[in-house]
Amino acid sequence: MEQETNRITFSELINRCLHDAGFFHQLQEDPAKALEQAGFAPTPSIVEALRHIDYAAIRRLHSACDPLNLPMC
Amino acid sequence: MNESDLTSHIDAVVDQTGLDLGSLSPFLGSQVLRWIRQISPHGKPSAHFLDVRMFPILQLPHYVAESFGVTPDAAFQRSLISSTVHGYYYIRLIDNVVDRDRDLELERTILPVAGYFCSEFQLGYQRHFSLGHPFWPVFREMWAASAVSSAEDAALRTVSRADFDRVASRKYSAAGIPVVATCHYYGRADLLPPWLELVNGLGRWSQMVDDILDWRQDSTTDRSTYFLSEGERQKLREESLEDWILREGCDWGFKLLNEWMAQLQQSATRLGSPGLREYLARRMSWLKEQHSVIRNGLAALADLAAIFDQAASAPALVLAGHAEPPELNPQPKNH
Repeated sequence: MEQETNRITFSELINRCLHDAGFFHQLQEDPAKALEQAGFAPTPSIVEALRHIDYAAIRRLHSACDPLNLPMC
Repeated sequence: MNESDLTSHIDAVVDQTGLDLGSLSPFLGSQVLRWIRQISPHGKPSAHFLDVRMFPILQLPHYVAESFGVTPDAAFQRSLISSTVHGYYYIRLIDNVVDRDRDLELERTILPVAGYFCSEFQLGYQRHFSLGHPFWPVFREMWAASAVSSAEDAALRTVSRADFDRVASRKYSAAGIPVVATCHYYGRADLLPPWLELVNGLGRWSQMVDDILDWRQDSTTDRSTYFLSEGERQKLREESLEDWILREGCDWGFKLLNEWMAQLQQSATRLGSPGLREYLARRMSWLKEQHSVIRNGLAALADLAAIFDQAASAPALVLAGHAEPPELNPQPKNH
C-alpha cells in the first residue's frame, strides 16, 4: 500500500523545519523517531539518508529569514 | 563623523527622548524606551542604526558633505541625527502597528507618542531653514510620499515592476530629506537630482532585499511583494512558489540585486563619496553571504524533501494510537 496521503509537500516541509523546533531537533537527534511520529516507516536507508542532511545550512537559512534578523529600514 | 561619534549622538538622542517624555509621564517614558530597545539588536539603539543591514539614513548626510569637500558643521550634523532618529521611530511605530507583526499592545500604548516623534523630526530642520526656504516644498513633497507609501504598499494584492518602483521610491523618500537638507545647507542644491537618484536606487535595492529575505513571513501572512508576485508569474503550472524559489527564484532575485548594486557603485564613484563606496562594498559582501546561506539552506531542504518523498512511497507505517494521520503542517512555534 502506498502512503500517498502522508506525502509532505516542499512547502510543508519548509514550514515544519523552520517553525517546528521540536520536529527539526528530532530529525537531527533521532531521525527514526521523527519519521515514525510523522507517520513514515523508518527504514534503515531512509534513516541513514536523514543523517547526511546539512542541518546547519537549514539553521542558517532560518536565521537569515528570521524577521528579527531582517534589514530594518 | 566616525562610528564612535555617531554612537554617542544616537545614544544622547534616545536618552533625551526618555527624559523629555519621562518628565511628563514616567510610565510613558519608560514604555517608549522599552519599545526602542525592543526593536534594536541586543537592545542597543545605536547598534540598530549602525547595523550593516540598516538603510544608512544617518550616514547619508555625511557622505553628501564628504562629496562636497566641506568640513561638516557639527551643530547641523547633530540636528540631522536627532531629526532622523525621531523620524525613523515615527515611521517604524506606524508601520509596526499597520503590519501587526511585533508587540502590538506596547505599540498601541505608545502610539500617541508618534506626534512627539514627528514634531522632533521637523524641529531639527526648523532650526536651520527659515519658512520661505526652498528646502520646505521638497520636504513636504517627500514626507507626504512617505506617508502615502505605507498605506498603498499594504493595499496592493499583486505587485508589478512598475508598482514596485513606485512604492519602493516612496517608502524610502523620507530618507532623502536629510540629503536634501545637506545639499541646501552647503549651497549645493544643484546636486540634488543625482543624490536623490542614489537614495531612490538604494531604497529599491533595500526593498528587494527585504522582499527576498522575508519571503516566508510575507507568504504565510498573505502580504504581497514584488518577489512573491514575480514568483506567481514565473513559476511553472505544477510548481509551488517554494519550488520556483529553489529552481530559479532565489538566483533571479539576487541577480537583480547584483545588477542594481553595480549601478549604485557607479553612482557613488561619480558622486565622489569614498564613505558611500565603502558602505556599498560592505553591503555587497553581506549580500553575497546571504545568497549563499539561502541557496545552501534551500538545497538542504530539497534533499530532505526528496527523502520524505522516498519515505512516502515506502510501505505504510501503522502506528499505535494514531487514529488519524499526524499533523503535517502545524502552526508555527518558536525555533
